[in-house]
Order: sequence, then structure tokens, then C-alpha cells
Amino acid sequence: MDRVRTGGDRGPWASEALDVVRAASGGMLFGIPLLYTVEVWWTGTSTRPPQMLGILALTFLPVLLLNRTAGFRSMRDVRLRDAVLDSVEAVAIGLVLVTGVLILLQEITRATPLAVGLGKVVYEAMPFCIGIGVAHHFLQRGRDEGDDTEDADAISRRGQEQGLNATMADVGATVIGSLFVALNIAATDEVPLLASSMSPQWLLALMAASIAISYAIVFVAGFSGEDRRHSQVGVLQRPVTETMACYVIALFSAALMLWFFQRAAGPWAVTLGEVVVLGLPAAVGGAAGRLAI
Amino acid sequence: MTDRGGRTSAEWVAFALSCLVVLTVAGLIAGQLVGGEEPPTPIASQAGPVRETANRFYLPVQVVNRGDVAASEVQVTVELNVEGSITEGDQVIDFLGGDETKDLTFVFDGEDPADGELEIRVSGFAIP
Repeated sequence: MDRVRTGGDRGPWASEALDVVRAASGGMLFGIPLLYTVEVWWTGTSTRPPQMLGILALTFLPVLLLNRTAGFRSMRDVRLRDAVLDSVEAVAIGLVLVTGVLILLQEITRATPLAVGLGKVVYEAMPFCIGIGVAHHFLQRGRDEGDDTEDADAISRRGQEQGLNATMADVGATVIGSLFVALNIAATDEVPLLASSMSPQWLLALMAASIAISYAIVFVAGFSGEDRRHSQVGVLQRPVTETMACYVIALFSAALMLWFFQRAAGPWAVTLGEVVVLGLPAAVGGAAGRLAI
Repeated sequence: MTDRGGRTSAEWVAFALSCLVVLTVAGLIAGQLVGGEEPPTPIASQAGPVRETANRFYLPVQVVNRGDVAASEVQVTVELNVEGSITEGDQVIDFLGGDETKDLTFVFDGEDPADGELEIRVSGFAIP
């Protein structure tokens, strides 16, 4: 494999940007369920500064081990020095990413005391950083089994022939993936708790972020299957169309999960807010599902 | 996946920015060490004017933890005494971090808090 990934050489800045997006995508895939766990917010809230520093230092350990074997880059970190440097970058990406999502979910606001915000960020960052550490390794199966041996034309021809089947496979994979990630969140009180604190503007921002994250995971991060997806021709298989369509499917899937757990009985505006809040993990899961097929 | 060669300039810039982020977070946490270890001290008070809708009176109450340490199961009690007739209500806040603020609303059905003597207090909490 090339230094970056199949699809041609990129400059160092573009490669680095791709590595960062890949890292962020891996972090989202691994860390999103814990973001919807009130007990983790509370643990972060009650954590004292010495413990926070300990947790932050501890986070480096699994990330360093993972960077020695998997990591978030398209190249392997063989030298210990590179693994150490990439671990610092992984933890920084995790901290920034978690802060952004916690702000988006209104778990960190202007009224949040600094110590409380720091505690939440440090605790929530750990699973994100582990996800970043295995970002490149995630969903590698398809590539290892030889999908990359097909050239783009062959993939495209196959895609045209199987356009409808591929579309149905995408729909199914989005539903299954969203169920896989969001089902255990749908049953919890965190969804109405988060939704109730969000204004319509924040819900719109959350929708935009969900779509952007879903797009980044499937079409930017460079996981296995991403090149193939760019080449496929089907009803949905153009990046923007597919992302939008699959986000709508993820929302339907989220609504179905809420209905299944008898949590969709409130006024429609309340339920809609809950669907959008659950739509983030559902969209992340849906994106992962589409890469897995 | 291939083994890597030397680091590119982009990777060095990203590393420098990452160091800045990690050191900033570590510095902010270290800055909290300077602060005290005051035990949790949640205090409740009226947060604004009473609002009336359909003969129901909505009393906004704000609870602030003046301590540095979090409190859990913070019980807030409001007592309204109108000419000897006492109406009492309470709510529990699951978790209140150091310096954190939570807003609550108590509802009085047909009784205007302005007509009587109002007592707002924290009646208990646990240390998490």
C-alpha cells in the first residue's frame, strides 16, 4: 500500500488531514456510547484534579500500545519515538473531539464550571483515544480479503450491474449498523435528558454534525471499502446522496428504537428532539455498517 | 500498511499543536490544584419572580454548590406558610459539581407565594 492509501499520492498536508479525520472517525465509532452515559458525566464531575491528571496520563498507555500495532495512520509506527509522538497527537485529537461533542450535546455550556468540564472531557476522552488508536485497524476485513485487488473500473462495472442490490445492501447495513451502536443507548434516560436541554438551533447543529461525521467516516477517513464506495454506481451511491439518504434512514431507525422501548409517546416535538439526539450514534453506526458490507 | 520513513513537516506541525492542546488541558487541571478543597455547600435561593398561569404559581429556585467538591442527592425543600397553613414541596438533584448551578421550579396550586412566608432551603445531600 502507498504511504497514504490507494487512490494516489497526496501531499504531506493532505495526508496529515486525512490521518486526523481517520483518527476522529475511529474515536467516534468507539467512544460514542460512553458519551451518552450520565454516570460518566457524574464521575467526571466529582473527579478531583490529581485524579484527572492521573487519568490523562493513563490514557497515553493504551494509545501508545495501540500505536505500536494499529494506530490511526495509514503507515505503521514501528519506531517507539513515532508511536510516542503519534500518541500525543491521538490524545490531543481525542480531547478536542470530546470537548466539541460535549458542547454539541450541551453537557458543557458557558455555565459549566471549569473543573466539571475538565473532568467530563478527561473521562470521556479515554474511550475516544482508544478508538483513535485502532482507527486504521477498524473494518479492515474487507481490504484484507482482497477487495482492493479489484481496479476501479471493475468495481464500477460490478456496481452498475448490482446497483439496486448494492442500494438495498446499503439500506440494510445502515439499519443494522445503527441498531448495533444505538440500541443500547435508546433504552436509557440519557436520550430524553439530552434532548430536553437542547434548543431547536442546537438540534439543527447536531443534525449537521451527524451528517458531517457520517460523511467523514465513509468517504474521507480512508477505512477499507472507502475507495470502493467512491466507485460504486447505485441509486444512493454518490457520496452526498448516500450520506443524506442514510442519515434519514438512521433517523427512522432511531425513531423505531425509541418506539420499541416505548419512549416515543410524548408530543411530536419532544420525540423529534429525542430522535435527532439518538440520530448521532445511529448515523455513526450506520456509517460503520455501510463500510462493513 | 507500510512502515513509515521520516516525519513530514505537516506531522511535526500537528504534533506541535497536539502538545499545545495536551499541555493546555494538563495546565488547566493543574490550575485547579491551587484551588481549595472546600466541602460541598449547596445553597438554594429564589431565582426570579413568581410566574402565574391558570391559578398555578411557578417559583424559580436556583441551587449553587459553593464548595469545590461535588454533592449528590441534593434535596431542596420549599415551604410556604400562609396564615398557619403550610404547603411543602421538595426536589432532589442527582448530582451537583463544585461551583455548579442547577435551576428548579416549584409549583403551587392556587396559592400565591407572595401571600405567605416562603422558606427555601437545602435539607440534605450525600457525598458521592
